[in-house]
Amino acid sequence: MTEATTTVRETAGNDVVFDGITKSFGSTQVLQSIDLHISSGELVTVLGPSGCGKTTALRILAGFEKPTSGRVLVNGQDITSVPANRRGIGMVFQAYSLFPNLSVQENVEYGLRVRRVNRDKRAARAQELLEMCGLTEFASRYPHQLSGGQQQRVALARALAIQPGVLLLDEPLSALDAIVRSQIREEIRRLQQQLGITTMFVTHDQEEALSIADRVAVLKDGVIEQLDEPRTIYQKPSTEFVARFVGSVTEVGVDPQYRGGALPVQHPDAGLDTLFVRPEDITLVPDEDGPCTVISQIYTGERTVVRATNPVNDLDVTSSVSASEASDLTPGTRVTPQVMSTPALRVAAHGQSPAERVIV
Amino acid sequence: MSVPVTPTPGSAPGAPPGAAAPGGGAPGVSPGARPRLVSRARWEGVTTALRSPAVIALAPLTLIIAVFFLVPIFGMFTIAFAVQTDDGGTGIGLDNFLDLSSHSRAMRNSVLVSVVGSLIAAIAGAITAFCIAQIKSERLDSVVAVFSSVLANDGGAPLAFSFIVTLGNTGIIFGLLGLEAIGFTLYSWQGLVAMYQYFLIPTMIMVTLPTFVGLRKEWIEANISLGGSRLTFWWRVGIPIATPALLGGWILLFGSAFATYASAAVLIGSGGFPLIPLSIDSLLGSGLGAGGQSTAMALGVTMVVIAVVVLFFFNRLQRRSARWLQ
Repeated sequence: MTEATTTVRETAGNDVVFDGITKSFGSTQVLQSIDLHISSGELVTVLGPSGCGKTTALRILAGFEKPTSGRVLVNGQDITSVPANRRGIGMVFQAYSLFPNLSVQENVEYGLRVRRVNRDKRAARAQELLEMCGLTEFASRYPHQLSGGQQQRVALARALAIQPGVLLLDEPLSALDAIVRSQIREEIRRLQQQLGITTMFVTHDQEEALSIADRVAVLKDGVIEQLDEPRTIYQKPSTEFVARFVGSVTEVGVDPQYRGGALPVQHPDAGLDTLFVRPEDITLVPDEDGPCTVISQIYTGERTVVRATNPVNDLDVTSSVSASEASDLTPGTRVTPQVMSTPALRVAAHGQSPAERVIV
Repeated sequence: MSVPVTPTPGSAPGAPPGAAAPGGGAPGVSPGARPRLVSRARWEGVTTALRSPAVIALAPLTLIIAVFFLVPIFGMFTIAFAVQTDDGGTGIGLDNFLDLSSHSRAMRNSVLVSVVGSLIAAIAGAITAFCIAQIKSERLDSVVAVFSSVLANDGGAPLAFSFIVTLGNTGIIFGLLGLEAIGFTLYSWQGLVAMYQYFLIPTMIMVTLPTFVGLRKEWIEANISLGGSRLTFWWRVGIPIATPALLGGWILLFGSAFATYASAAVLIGSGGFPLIPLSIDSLLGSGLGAGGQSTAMALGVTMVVIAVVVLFFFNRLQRRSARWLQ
């Protein structure tokens, strides 16, 4: 890449700290003491259902909202009271944020223009970013002449043009269709890694959050439920909420003595431990006396998702199997579900000591 | 005749900004790129609709348009362009328009009152609409839209009478403010300008409020995150986006003021301060016979041309603004 990219590297990679951030709107507490450290050059996705406070957290970092208490540090400096337009933080909005009266090139140059960068430098920098984002041919178009995906690329180029130390993305892909979404997701990740820019990415889409992040912060009701690498979030969720919200899961109640093998298919209840089991951790063994009946197969390409139900209590068990295994599991087959490896989460029966996660 | 001062499609009160823009609706399709005026594609929907039996429902409207709009217009154009030929027959010519030079004072007055009146109203109305939009209350916006569209169509003799009793030579406000001392009189071009504000300002509010309301929060925040100030936003984004609507509004006001008849007639009469609509009236009423009538029709045609030009540019600017605000 060219010189300008090198300058980006020098300024990029600021680390970000949320230090005991709380935020209330009137009597509603949106964020309850958020502590989050995003290392330099790291991409953290903030994942949660709508209304969990994720956008508020991002807007506090951007400077659009003031925290009720707590501090925000960038590169060790307290920026809590620095106005948003002096923070040098790049931001990509959900949609429709491009200035409609300016061409693509002028949009990308906007931040430099505000900074009184001279015309030639501005144009060169804009060209370079348009190239990086694959937009060169659209430079003289206007936003309403672009597709949603192209508009978001321009928005990204515009945010990066000011060589921000931190990049914020507020559900930037939610208005796009699935194919474009995954394309742009990959592009964002590629640019982010290439520039080494510290990034906070807010989304409610768990697949998006897992696929793009170095670490994922799962937020619920203004509290970070878990902050971990995507793999850990999925395989070792630390709370029931995370287990349910990220990926699919079968919840069954088992005796506290249960240590693996044939799964008693019963609903979670008092006195029982609750297991949260991922589809790939369950096998369905064909068994004429088995407690469950296969009710459906969903072919997804690499894997087939097989659902079996216990007709006595209507509890469904979901298993993900290979195509060859699936051929033995046609709908109507009696099966015994077995837990083959460590379940994602085991919650001890109420009043008992914490359950061991490990079985088998 | 008058320029219709009703909410135009692009500025329907209560409608989301730009939602009713021609050709809009389909996301990603630029409303600017609609088919050519003379093409099958452009009129496809219309011809299909006209083949449906429901077209009978249009009969009353068609009748009214024919009787009160098409026939008079046709008559006006016929008379305006009809000239006596040397052999005593009737031909087509521009003779009647040559007579218009004797009405140049009326032309000048009409232009003066319309330009000054519309300019003041455009500025006052735009500032008012801007301020209303800053309150960011949807309920207020729709109340304002309703009231301003009512007021924009308020005019005529009652308006003139209410101004006479308040600002006339014996009017209450006239006395209270001691306007006589500064030499103000309602029965002058300044008086007309003042009276016109009553419906011009609401018209401007009606036309520009959707634009100011339609300025997205994302644009303001994007400007801030890129390092801009409030001033930068208005200078580089806000005002440029609003400009077509402001210009379009001003043009519409000009047309509206230019065509005003009833209230001006009551206030000024047909005497001291001739305006084009008043001249038409006096020509028609003066019993000058065919000559006067022909000149009146020529003046009428002139006004129609001005109205068409005004609406053309208004529509153009309005569409551009709507496209940006989608």
